[in-house]
Amino acid sequence: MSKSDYEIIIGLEVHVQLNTKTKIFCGDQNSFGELANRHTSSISLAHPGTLPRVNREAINKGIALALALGSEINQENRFDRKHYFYPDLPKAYQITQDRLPICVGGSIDIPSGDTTRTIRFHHTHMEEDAGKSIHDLDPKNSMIDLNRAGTPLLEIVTEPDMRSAQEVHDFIATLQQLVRYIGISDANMEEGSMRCDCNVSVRLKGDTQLNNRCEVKNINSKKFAMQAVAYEAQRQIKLMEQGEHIDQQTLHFDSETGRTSSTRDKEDAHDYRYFPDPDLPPVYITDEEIAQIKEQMPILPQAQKQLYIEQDIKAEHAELLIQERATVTFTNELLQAHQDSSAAVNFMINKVLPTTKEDYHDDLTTFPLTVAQCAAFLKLIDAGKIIHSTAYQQLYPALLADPTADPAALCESMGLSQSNDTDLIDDLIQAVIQENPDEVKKYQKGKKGLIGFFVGKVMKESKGKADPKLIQQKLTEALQS
Amino acid sequence: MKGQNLNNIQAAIRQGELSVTQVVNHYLAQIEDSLPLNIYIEVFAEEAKKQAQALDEKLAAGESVGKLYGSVISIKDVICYEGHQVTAASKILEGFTSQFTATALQRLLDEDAIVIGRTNCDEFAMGSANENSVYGVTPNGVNSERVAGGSSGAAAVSVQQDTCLVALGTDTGGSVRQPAGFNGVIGMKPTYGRVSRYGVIAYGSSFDQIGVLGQHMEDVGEFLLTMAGEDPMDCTSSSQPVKTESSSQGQVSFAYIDEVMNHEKLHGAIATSSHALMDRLESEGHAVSKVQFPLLKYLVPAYYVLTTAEASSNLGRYDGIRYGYRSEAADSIKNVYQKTRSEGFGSEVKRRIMLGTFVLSSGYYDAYYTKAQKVRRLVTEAIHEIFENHDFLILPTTPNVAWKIGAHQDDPVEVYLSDIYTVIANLTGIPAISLPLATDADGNPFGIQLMSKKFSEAELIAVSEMLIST
Amino acid sequence: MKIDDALISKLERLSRLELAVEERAQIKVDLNNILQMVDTLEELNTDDVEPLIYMNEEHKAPREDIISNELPHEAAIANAPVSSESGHFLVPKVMDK
Repeated sequence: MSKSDYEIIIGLEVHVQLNTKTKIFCGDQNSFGELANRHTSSISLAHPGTLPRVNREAINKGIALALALGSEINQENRFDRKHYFYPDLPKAYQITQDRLPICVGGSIDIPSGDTTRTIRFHHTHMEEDAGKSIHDLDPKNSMIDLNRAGTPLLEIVTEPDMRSAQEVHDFIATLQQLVRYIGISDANMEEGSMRCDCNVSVRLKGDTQLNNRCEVKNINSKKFAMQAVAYEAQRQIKLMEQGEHIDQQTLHFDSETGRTSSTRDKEDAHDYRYFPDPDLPPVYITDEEIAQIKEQMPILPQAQKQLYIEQDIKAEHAELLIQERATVTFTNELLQAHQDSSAAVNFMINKVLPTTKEDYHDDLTTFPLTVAQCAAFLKLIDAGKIIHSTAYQQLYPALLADPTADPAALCESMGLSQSNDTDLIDDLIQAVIQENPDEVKKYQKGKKGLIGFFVGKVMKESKGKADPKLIQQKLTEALQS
Repeated sequence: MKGQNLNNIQAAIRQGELSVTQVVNHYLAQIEDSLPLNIYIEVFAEEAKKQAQALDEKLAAGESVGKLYGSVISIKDVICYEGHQVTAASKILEGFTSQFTATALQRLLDEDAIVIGRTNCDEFAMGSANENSVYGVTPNGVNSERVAGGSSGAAAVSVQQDTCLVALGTDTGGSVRQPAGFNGVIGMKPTYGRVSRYGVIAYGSSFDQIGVLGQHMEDVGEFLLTMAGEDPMDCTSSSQPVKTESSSQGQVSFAYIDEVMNHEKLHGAIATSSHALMDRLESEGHAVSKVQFPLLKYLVPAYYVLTTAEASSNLGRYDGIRYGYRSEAADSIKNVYQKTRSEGFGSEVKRRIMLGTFVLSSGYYDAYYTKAQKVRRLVTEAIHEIFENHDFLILPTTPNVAWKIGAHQDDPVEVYLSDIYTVIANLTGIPAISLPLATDADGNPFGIQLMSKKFSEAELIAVSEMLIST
Repeated sequence: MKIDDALISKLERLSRLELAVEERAQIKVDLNNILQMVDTLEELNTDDVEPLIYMNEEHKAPREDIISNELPHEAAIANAPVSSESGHFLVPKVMDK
């Protein structure tokens, strides 16, 4: 039997850190990258006599996610204790949701070749993150930092619907985009605000039973997720081919070797002794609260893409525009301000987005020009005040360098206004023709493609003020004689 | 000054016959005299004197002071007081200083109560005799060969020995009422959720409440109601407004439980005195009726399953990593946990942690934990029914008087079973009070309990005042 | 339900306790006695009874997302048995590999 006789079954558990101001069960600041133990309290340190309190904003973000995933919201939410001992877990239990999580079900579509595939969710639940243990700085000790202990997490659990490493990649990318869109998290895997565990099993194609799966924990990049899944699938297929049994295991992925390996096997490690947390009464979510959050939701990426396509924007362009919510916001405002949508979209695709990527860390919110300025810029071109190419090549950089300037004024002061003074053009044409006798001969002998060369020369001489179409028209006439 | 209630103390202060400093000095002298009883783990002598002096200065200057001025209280070693050590009478919290004050205590401090010291107790409030403490036994204040009761044993003795006006204890299964009964003082537990648990070292989260012990009913009531009220720091605290005026007038109705009064373990003297009291009440025109409560024998089992489960979870945090005792043999993560916890916890605590871990563990959860929760519902419904037809439940505090120290070392179950009359209030969350009833032939005190429906503290206090006054 | 040595060992592991030999023997006896007491609960028919989980049925509003109660770093570390200059809690490294 060959590898292609097998099917890979993958389900993911994605942990998303929420960008609330404070932790989920206490008022410590939700911080990142600070010195150790600077954002803790008696509560997050699990001092005797302390009690938890749920953060309303964490629940709201859970509701927003549920709406984005099309999940069914549980209006009664309960919290449970999950017990295990580890130095970065101060209470020796994690407050999580075992029985009545914030939402169940839902699905998203991911690209699959020319079409899409639907990946379903089992449920999403809220829980608190543990602190951080550093094992490699001190030779004798592990160092414990509890700044992160209590950070709000949403754990998003899929059904085992994925069938390839590529699908895993695309799923994570789609989920990341969605989570950022609705503004609940940075969902940055390298920084740790999003991590995932991959559950992988294999079976013969045609089989309906699910075999034992192995869980690869704490993967922090899409690339590693793909590698881990690919490696793990191969490992299991090999075992199956050899007629061996696949044990259910928890695995760790080593990004240097590209392999998975078993984590230290702790006996009874998985008797978490869940029970309802007596310190936290259920949280009830009302219809009004859900409605309020729904009202504040942005249009989701795929729906927005559809809207753009309906506005006659090309699909490839629409795809680029919907990548970030900030781009959509900017684009929509620009489309409002400037009627020629194709000009506006071109400007976004060819100028705004590339500039943002290269010079502003892909963060459109730091892009120096306002929508109003961009609209004014486009208006100048539209009204024929400046040639398109001149505007793009000269006025645009000048505006970036002086972001407070008014485009029209800058255009004037730089002398970039379009000039269709035909005498001047005729003179320039004559000059260029005289300076380039060889090319003129070649053109007249049949190399009509050289017209571009001549237009370019004249444009350069005109310092970009003349309309290239007019130049071409006159040049063609002049060269014929 | 000896044995005076707060009203009289404040009257004397206002008339210039007494100063707060003298009050504090009186109690400090009492503490000195009662040192052999091992009541206090720590006495805040200098601090108390300073606070007293500050109050006296304010009073002399005619400035306003809190309504509890002139009062001196003791706190059980499970109540957090910022800047002070709190150890739950355990080695595992050796040297731990709390960084905040329990909300309930803060409310008393805001009214100018002075804390004179922290009292001994059973480790992590687990025990009924104050014999399970790393600081040693606190014996009964009336008969020092007998147990003080527990877990707030020393709190009861601190009041009985007049070392403070009232004592704060905690009551999870009777830990305020039973020692109160054994020492001839009053002990009251509020409705679950009436007083904040923020700052109370947790044992049984759905059972624990701060309770008040004292010699005078008005003081016990006043302190309880001052602490009462919702606390945003405690999600289990109730938002029900605190009623301070009783709405019951004149004749009330009492119910006593047949199975309680006929219990095989109930001592004759206690049964006799209890019946005598009920007869008296009847003669005064109150209704006194017998009710059946067949669930009585299931109270203690359900109580121990649920509280040990919660305790096993609540005590997981004691590991010597962020605070407290760490074993010297802690040479690996594994040993930090194992050695620290094994050396740091006493045997009763370990017993309850093991039992609690067992009832929560996979395979046993439904048979034990869920089962006990169902029994809790049955008991709650049965009690609710009783209160549909009667105002108060009346029953002895304990089946027995205080036993001799060391008598039950080998028999924890025997001790657990003696909680039978008190746990009912913790299982159902209702308020309960133990009032001194009488003593047996050897002079050992015992108490009578009154219980009422949830959030009826005002009524319970009123009827207690009525009962005591005659 | 009887508690045997294997179960005691499992419970020790789950609760991170290490009992001395005499303690173990005593706890085994105690736990069996306690369980016998607890097993009486089986006499009650609770088939149609909902477990009582929460003592307070009030609907409580969650707290607002506002920074509060933070401890200054020195206070957070003040009670630590072992800490580093960098302000971390220290735990001896896991020895078993």
